[in-house]
Amino acid sequence: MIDLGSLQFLPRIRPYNEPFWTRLREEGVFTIQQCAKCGERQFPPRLVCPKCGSREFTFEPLTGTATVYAFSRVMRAPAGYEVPRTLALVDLDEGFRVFTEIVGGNPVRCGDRVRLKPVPVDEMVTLYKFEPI
Amino acid sequence: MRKAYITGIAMSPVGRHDLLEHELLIPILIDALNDSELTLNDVQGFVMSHPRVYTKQRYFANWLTHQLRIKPSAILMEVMGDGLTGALAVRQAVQEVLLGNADVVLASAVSLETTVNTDLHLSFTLRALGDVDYTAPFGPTALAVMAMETNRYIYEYGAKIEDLHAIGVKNRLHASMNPIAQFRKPITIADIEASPMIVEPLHLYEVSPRSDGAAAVVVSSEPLGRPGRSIEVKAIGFDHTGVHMSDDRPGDMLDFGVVRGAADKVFKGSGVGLSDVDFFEIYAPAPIHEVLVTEALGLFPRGQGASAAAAGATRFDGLHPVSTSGGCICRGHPPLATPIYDICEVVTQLRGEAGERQVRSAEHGMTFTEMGMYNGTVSFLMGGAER
Repeated sequence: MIDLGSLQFLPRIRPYNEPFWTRLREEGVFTIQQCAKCGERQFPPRLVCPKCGSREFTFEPLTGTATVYAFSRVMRAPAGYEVPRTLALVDLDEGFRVFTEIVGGNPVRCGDRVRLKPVPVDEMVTLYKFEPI
Repeated sequence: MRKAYITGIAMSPVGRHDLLEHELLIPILIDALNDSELTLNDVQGFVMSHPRVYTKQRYFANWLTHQLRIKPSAILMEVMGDGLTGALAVRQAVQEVLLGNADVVLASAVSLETTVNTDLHLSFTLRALGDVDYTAPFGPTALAVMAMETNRYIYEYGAKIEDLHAIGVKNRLHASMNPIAQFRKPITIADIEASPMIVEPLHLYEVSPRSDGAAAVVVSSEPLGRPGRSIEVKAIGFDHTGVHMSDDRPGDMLDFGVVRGAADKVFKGSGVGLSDVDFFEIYAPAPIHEVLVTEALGLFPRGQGASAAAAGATRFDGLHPVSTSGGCICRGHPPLATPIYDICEVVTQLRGEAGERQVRSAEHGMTFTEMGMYNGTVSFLMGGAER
């Protein structure tokens, strides 16, 4: 059985996605993985480019501003997660949809503008939450 | 050309059962065989939903064959496809019959949910729900995603939340007439509004519970038993978007295109069209999924599915009855078995054995096991004159 005390899931940082997590943690920027061969951009980072099969990528910084596409205010969550909390799908201005949490206390609605709010979890992991602008 | 018929069905009451998996399932398997006037000796194939990880006996289907002395010479397998699982089990049974591998295949599922700690359950579902590295850290639940869809629906169309609540009321009405349903006491919109908020804007009384249940169907190559009680599986459709929960390429979360995709495959070559379908049983753990499936099918214009339902169009006596069983929300939701319960409800209706909730002149019915943001759909079309 899994230990219930350790059930807050944290990302597995691996060589292929490490630049995303490191730049989020150290520079506070949200980067997008871009294929060095065909230019395809995608989130989250993948092991291979699903368009051309290349394994060479760069990580390009985005503005970190976004619009709330959909949200919900959660009153019941798995063990290890505080409630109430606001989960959302946000559309980054550069055209990528991201599942995230909205922090900052203010209620949000569809169409609201938000910006990246890096939230450190431990020494290795900073999560990309968003806050109202 | 070979055909496949559902000749026997059985379901346990949905709710809380203080039983082990086989204690709940085995009597249902026997009942389903009795319903088609067969015995365990007649079973040539046995397919079931892969049981929950909490099930102590692993390779459960294999173990059951020994318990029952079934000899599954054509096929023995457990299938898994998250919410689609029960539907895929029946689909597999139908395919074995259509391929000529067997004349009688038993398909079944058992879900024991209430004995498992809710935190543990949510943690397990969390790992299926989204990407474990990029979604799970934020702690999503399935209902949170349905709440997002509901909020977006209200935002885009100016829909009234009362119209969505009315779907919960409709499902209670249906469940009140279904002897195996978990929640049978009729309720009002005010009752829903007074029940606790689970995930804004969804209240307790309009979301699916965690339920125990077992269901089984017998799939045969010929009609069996008393005339009129064998229901042909006319077609099965599947579609999938190739997306795990939410796509990074922004799209329209309110357009369940895979529902149309699966339905198109069902209707192609079946000689039956949407207008011939008398009722629908939809896998909908929250009201918004009934709305989005009926709109995707074109039963109602986009943005009008909720108001149409509130006006009674999806009641058992309405224009397009939806989930006459009471659906996931009120019949109850033992997830691995839910799609089989839905198939059993369609069979019950087509046999004319649905009692007070009987759809008039029901000739064709469909199921939609629909995964919302998990992006897959399985649809069964059943019925027709040959029984």
